[in-house]
Amino acid sequence: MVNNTTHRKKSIRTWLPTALLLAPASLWYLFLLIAPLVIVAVFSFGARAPEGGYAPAFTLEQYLKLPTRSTPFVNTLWLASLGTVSCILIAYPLAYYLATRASAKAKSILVALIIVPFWTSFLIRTYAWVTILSSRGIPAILASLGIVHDLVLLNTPFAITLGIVYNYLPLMTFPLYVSLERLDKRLLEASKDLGANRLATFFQITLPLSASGLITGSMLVFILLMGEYLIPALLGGGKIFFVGNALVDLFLQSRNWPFGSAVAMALNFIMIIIISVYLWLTSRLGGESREEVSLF
Amino acid sequence: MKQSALDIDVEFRNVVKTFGTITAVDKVNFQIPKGSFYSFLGPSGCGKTSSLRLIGGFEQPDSGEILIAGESVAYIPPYQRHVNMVFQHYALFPHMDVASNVGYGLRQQRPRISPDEISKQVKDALALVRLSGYEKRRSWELSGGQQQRVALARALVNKPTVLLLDEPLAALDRKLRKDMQVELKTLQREVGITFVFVTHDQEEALSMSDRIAVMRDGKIVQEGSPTDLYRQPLDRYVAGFIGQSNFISGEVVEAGDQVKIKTQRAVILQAPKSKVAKTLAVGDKAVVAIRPERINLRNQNEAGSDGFAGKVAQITFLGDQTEYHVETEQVGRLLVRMNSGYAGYASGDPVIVYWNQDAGLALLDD
Ligand SMILES: Nc1ncnc2c1ncn2[C@@H]1O[C@H](COP(=O)(O)OP(=O)(O)OP(=O)(O)O)[C@@H](O)[C@H]1O
Ligand SMILES: [Mg+2]
Repeated sequence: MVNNTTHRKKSIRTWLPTALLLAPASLWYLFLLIAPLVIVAVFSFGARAPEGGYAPAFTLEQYLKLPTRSTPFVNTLWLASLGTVSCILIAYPLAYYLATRASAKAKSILVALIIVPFWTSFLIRTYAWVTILSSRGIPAILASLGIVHDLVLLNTPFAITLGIVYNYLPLMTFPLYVSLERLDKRLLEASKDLGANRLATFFQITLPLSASGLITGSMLVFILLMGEYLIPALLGGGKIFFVGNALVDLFLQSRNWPFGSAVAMALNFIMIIIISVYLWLTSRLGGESREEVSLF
Repeated sequence: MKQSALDIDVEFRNVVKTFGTITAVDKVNFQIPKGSFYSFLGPSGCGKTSSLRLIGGFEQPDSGEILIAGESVAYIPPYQRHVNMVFQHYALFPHMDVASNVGYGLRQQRPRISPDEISKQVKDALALVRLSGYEKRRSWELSGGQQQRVALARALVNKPTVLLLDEPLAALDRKLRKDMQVELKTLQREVGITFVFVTHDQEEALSMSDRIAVMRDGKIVQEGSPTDLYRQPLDRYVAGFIGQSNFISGEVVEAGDQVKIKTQRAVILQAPKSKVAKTLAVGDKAVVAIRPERINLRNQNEAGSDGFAGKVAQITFLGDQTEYHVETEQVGRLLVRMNSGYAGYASGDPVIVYWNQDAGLALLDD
C-alpha cells in the first residue's frame, strides 16, 4: 500500500513537469496550426458566398477546379527545384572548403560573411535586388559598356533563382558543413591508400557520407520555397506566380476562400509527399551515417 | 651480411620530416628486407606513425630519399603506391558493408576487374582472416577484433608489396591482442608480404618481429633482431625499453671488453661491454644492466662468497614466476624474477642477491 502511494506520487512527479514543459508549445500548435488547418480543410469543401468569403456546403467543386491553377504549382515546383540545385552547386564547394581546408580564422570570417547579410530584413534585401536587376541597374551598365543591349533580368526565372540562392544559401551551407565537418578525414586517407584518386574518393566516400547534410539542406530550402511569396512577388513582378502568390490573390483579391483553401490543401498534400520521401531517404541512409543533422 | 637492392622492400636514406618546429623523423636510415616482419618500437611521439605515413605517401619528406622495391617514390601519391595501410582505428567505410569495404581497392583498379572476380577475391580475403560469412555485415555490427580483421583483409586483398600497420592491436583487450599477435604473424608467413608494424608495446614487438627498430625522438637508436636487442642493447634506453632491467649506476674505472664500474657506494662491479656499443672510457658515467631473471637469491646462511646482502621488500606473484623486490645496502633496490617453484622467501626475509659476472652488461648511462 505504502509502496503504491509512493509509486503514484513518483509518477505525478514525472508527468507533471513533462506536461508543464510541453503545454505552451502544445497550445500554440493547437490554436495556430491544428485549428487553422481544420478550418482550411472545412472551407475547401465549401462554396464561395456571393459577396466573397465562405458559404457552408459539401462539394468537391473546388478540388475539381484545381487544374485551372496548375501554372503556379508548376512554377513553384520547377523554380524551387532549380533554386535548390543552384544552392547545392554553390554551397557544397563552400561547405567543403569550410570543413576541410579553411584555417580557424578563415572559417570564422567566412561564416560571419555568410551570416551578416541576414542582419538586414528579408524584404529589404530582396528589394535591393529589384533595383540592381531593373533596367536602370546591371542591364544599363552592360548597355553603356556596349556589351549587351536590351537585356531583361528582372521578372525572369533567372531573377527568381538569384533571389532564392541569395536568401537560402546559408540554409544549405550549414547542414552540409556539419556533415562534412563530421566526416572522418582518415576515411579519405584510407580511400587514397586503397588506390582511389581524389575524384574517385570524392564520389565514393565524401559525397555518400555527406548525403545526410545534402538531403537535410535540400529539404530545408525546398520546403520553405514551396511557401515562398516575397521573391516571386518582387523579382518575378507578378508575372511568375508561385502558389503563395496565387493564395494571396485568391484570398485577398478575389475573396474566393473555398478555392483558396483547396489550393492550400493541395500544397499541403505535395509537402507531405516530399517530407515522406525525405524520411524514406534518411531512413535508407541507416546506421551510423544517419546523422543527427536530420530535420524531423 | 650484405643484401642486394632487390632484397630490400623499403629503404630510408637520411629522411627528415618536420612539422613546424618539431622534427618528427630525424635523418633516419633503415632497410626493410623483403618478406620480413619489421617493427618500429618507441614511446609516444617518437615518430613511428610519421615514418609509416612517409612510406604510405601521406607525408612528403623534407629531405632524404625513400625507396620502395628499389625505386624512389618522391611525389608518388598514396593511390599509386603498391603499399597498403591498416589504420590505427581501422577507418572502415561506414556506408559500406564488409564485402564492399574489402573490395574497395579492387574496384579502383584499371583496367577494371570483373565483379565476379572481385567477389571471389573478397571471399578469399575474408576466409584468410577467418571472417567468411560476414560479407553483408556493417562495420558497427562487428567487434573490435572483427573490425581489425576486416581492415586487414581490405589491405591484403590488393596484394601490396608492403603492408603498413599502425598499432593495429592497440584498441583490443589483452587476451584478444595476444591471439591476434599470433594470427598476424602466421598470416604474414602465409602471404609472404613485407609487414611494417608500429607499436609502443615492447612485448608485442619482441614476439612478432623479425627485426625491430627502436626509436627515440625521431631517431632510430638501435636496429636488430629481437634477441640481439634483448641480449645486446646499445645503451641504457634500449635496455630499459626492451624487457625489464635493473640498472646499477656508477663510473667506469677500468675499460675494455670487461668493464669495471665503481658505484656510488664504492662497490666495484664487473660486466662485459655490450658488443654493439661504443667503447667506454675510464671516467664515463655508466650502468650495469642486469635482467631480473638473471639474478638469483639465496638464504644468508647458505654457502657462497659473492653477492650482496639485502631484505625482501615486496613480492609480486605472477603465476609461473614470482618477482622479489630486494632492498640491498650496497647496490640499491633490485628486481629479481624466479620461477615460482623456488619461491621460498617471504617479505622481510634476509637474503643474498648474486649473479654471474656475464649476466650483467656495462652500458653508457644517459
Ligand atoms: N600533422 C602533424 N602536425 C604537427 N605535428 C605533428 C603532426 N604529426 C605528428 N606530429 C608530431 O610529430 C611527432 C611524432 O609524431 P608521431 O605521430 O609520428 O608519433 P608516434 O610515434 O606515432 O606516437 P604515438 O605512439 O603517440 O602514436 C610528435 O611530436 C607529433 O606531435
Ligand atoms: Mg602513432
